[in-house]
Amino acid sequence: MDASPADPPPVLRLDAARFAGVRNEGTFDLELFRGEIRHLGANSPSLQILGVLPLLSGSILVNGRSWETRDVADREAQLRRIGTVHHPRGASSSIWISNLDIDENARLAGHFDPERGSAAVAERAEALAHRFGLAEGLPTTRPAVTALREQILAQWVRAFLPEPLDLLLLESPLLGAPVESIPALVAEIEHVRGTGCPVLWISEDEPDFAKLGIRAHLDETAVREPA
Amino acid sequence: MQGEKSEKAVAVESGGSRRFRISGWDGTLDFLALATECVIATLLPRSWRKPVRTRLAKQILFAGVEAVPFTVFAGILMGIVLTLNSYRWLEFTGRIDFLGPALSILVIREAAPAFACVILIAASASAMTTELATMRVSGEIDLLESQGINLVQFLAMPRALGLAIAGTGLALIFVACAFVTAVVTILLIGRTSPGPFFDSIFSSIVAADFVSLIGRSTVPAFLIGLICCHVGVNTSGSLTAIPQAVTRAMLLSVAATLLISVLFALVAYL
Repeated sequence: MDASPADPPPVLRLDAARFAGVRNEGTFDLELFRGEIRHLGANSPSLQILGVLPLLSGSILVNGRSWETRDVADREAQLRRIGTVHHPRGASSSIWISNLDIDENARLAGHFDPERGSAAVAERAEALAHRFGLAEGLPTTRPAVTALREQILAQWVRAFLPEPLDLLLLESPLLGAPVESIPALVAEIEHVRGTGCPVLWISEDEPDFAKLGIRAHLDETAVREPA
Repeated sequence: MQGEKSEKAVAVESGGSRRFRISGWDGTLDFLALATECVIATLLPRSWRKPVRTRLAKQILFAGVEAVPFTVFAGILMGIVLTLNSYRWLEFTGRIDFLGPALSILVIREAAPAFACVILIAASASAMTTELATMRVSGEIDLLESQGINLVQFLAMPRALGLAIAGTGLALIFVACAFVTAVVTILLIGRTSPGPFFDSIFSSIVAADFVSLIGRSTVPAFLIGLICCHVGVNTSGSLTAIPQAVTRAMLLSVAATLLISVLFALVAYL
């Protein structure tokens, strides 16, 4: 998507970014505008995109600013508006806090959002859990004793829980996911894209978005108004 | 734009949170910044999110409530030891009427806060450091940071405050057990009536004793919590770094306890 000078800046911009620990040795240049969905052919770079781990080289801008230029409060506020599905066996190694139950894990960041109450976070989480196929809600068990299928679905819940959602990073989101839940994920992706949230699909192989039912482009006038 | 870095340099750099890094003088400043931020966060109502309140309750349960039986045991034993020793030497010097005041000073100002901190270090400091160091090594701290969760509020504040509350409670329980045991011991010895003995204890206690008791149990316990969080979160490398971190945290905790004890003694006696 070509941007004109009047357009808002990309929500996410990678400039010659080289990630540590990913199999792809190349550098990445990418601009992700509101409502867009793009594929990034890397293994599990989300913690580096989020500024938690350093890049080997290059730079990353989120909403026009690099992580280094933000103070702690601003950085945390921005991170709370980014939903992430981590690769189940990615370089980040942990996708859950091991001494919290899955439901506590999924809601944790939501509880730190000053704009939302705990009850609203819990209600939204349960609604998402049912939508994705967790009939009994989020598992109330420790990650170590929770089935991979339920962990995948709970990760989806955690990723879509932030409100408003500025950016969605999906690292191999379909890996280990139950087939019957995929349409619900696609519907939720399309919904958040409709609100202007861009999606970065991160996997080594490019998915067939059309086959999944994900539109390559949305109605631009609906999503490209200033943030 | 970031400069070019080697994979190894990045791996080393990513081993510790930028906000918790400790090394040399910078590390001391980091620790002071952590302590200050922790105290400020404690005073702000917006810091007390549901997970933080839950963590505080669990910390008081683990460090305080679960340590009560051992504290009672230690209080009873120390009550017997201190009473018998004091009795023997005061009788020898002909000042047995000072038994109550001597015990109140020994128990309230010295033994209770020291034992409360020792129990916390032995039972909780090692567990806390191990937990946080494991979280760091396994990438769970990175996961928290990636979700925009404030590490000071979620990890440090409830643990440090929980230890402070637990330490104060344990010190008070220790005092109660030691005094009750002292009375029982006096009764068994049978050479001094317990009534006047108890009166002499209470008449010798002044407000400064309570300030000393609370200060010497609360402040070191709070610092023990911060030290464990600081050392645990700054652990880098592999699982083998965890035992080293635990040893370091426990030694630093003992040193902090002794330093605070000396400071309070200087203020109280000079």
